Amino acid sequence: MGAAELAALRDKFAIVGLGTTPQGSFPEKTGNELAVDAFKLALADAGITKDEVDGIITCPSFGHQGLDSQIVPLLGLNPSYSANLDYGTCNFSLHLAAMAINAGFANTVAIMYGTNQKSSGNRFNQAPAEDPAITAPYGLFNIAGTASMALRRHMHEYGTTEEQMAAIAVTFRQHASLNPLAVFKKTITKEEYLESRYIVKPLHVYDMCVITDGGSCMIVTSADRARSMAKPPVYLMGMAEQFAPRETQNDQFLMRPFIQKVAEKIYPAAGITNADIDALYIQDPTSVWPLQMLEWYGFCGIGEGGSFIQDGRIGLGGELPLNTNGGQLSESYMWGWLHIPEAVRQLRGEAGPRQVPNAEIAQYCSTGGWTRAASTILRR
Amino acid sequence: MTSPQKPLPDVNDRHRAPFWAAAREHQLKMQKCTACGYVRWPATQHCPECLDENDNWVALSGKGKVWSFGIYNHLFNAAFADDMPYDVALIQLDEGPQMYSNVVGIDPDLLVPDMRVEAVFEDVTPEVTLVKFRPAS
Ligand SMILES: [Zn+2]
Repeated sequence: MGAAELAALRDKFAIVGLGTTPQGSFPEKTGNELAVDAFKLALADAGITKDEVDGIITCPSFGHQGLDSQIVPLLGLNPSYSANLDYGTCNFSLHLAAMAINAGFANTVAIMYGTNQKSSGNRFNQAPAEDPAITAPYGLFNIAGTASMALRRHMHEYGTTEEQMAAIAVTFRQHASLNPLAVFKKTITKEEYLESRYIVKPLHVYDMCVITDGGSCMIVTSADRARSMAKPPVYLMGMAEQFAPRETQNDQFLMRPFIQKVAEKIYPAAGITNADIDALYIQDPTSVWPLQMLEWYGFCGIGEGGSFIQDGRIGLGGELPLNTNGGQLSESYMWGWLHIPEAVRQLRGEAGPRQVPNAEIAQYCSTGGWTRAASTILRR
Repeated sequence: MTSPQKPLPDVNDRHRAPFWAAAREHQLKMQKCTACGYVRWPATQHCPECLDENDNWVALSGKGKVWSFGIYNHLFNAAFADDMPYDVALIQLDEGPQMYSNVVGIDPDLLVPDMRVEAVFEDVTPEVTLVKFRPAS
């Protein structure tokens, strides 16, 4: 796929509605019902009725929930286009929505995710998705296992330290303390991080997100339609993806060098460089994701992530505010479905005490498993 | 009170059975494509390099290095309670493939990436032998 084709999509679509439910534990609702709650909030935010939405993209969630065949009947709609996309993190679903609009399958698409995995008892104690039949016998459980290996290798190759890594969890928690939606608002110190228990050494408990219940929905439409809606449009300035399962036979695959392919595509697609990013969002089920992606997207050199995140650089008021919502580590897990809502709030100037002054351009970087990556650049 | 049983591999898996049969005989074998020579794990019908379906199960040296590892301090599965803390490592075999395993015979805190290791075989049930690794002699 050429940069010119991706660049032709620049600013053609916009996010016009956001719905984020409270996050936490909601045993009285199913994941699908939480998705419906988020949809209602997004409609109100966009100032439209449900009948103005003619495309639905849902995201499968824990407990065999989240299929469009389950959720669309709850919405009481007969959409022109409907799909469910299984790898979450919002970026992939957002791109599919843009493709559906671009191809004429729908005019206005709601993408949504709802989960009650906390209250329904998902303990995440199963082996990682990558081949439990041959990994669980060795005790490889949870994403913390493979993430710890990636971090250990980073430490070995580049001298990254636990003291350096503390900056990610500590900074995100500081941001969460300013976010009413966040589940974890109590700030932590570097010392508290270093003294905290390990989950899978060298990953501390604060390096791992905690699962939560909640819903998230975004409404996407064409730039032309967007201009008549209630809130100022936030345009999709650039989009790019990469799938790289062949990398699993590359000895560096847990470092995920293929993510660089997304970086090579997205900045030309958006017509900017990463120096133009005012607020950055990186999916963070573990703190290893930001460490890796800061490097692969070129915000610092390969291996320099540990030193780059020091001295307040990724905090509010710093050179590159990162995950101003607190990220998955401190706001809410939600499979990465809350970073783009926060980016949109920042670009609208709705972020209150955590507002990045005059934020014009934001970027969200995410992955699906170890071999899939996507990114979106948004502008106001 | 019996302790919970650890997960076991399916030794009759359609593609992986030869791996487990070799492990039972204390050998490390993997699939080698007869068309292009690519050695692969996990086992698959088609070679991911050239898509050929013909292969031989060849004996590997069992030698390699620790690409990286993690040390489990949180108990995710009760069957591993007696092993805590234990390591899980990604082993880079000299012939190319990587595999997840445990490095045994060493305090996990003494492991370092790139440490040379060699295969050892642990008979865990009458049917199942796991391929593990120990620091190379
Ligand atoms: Zn081949």
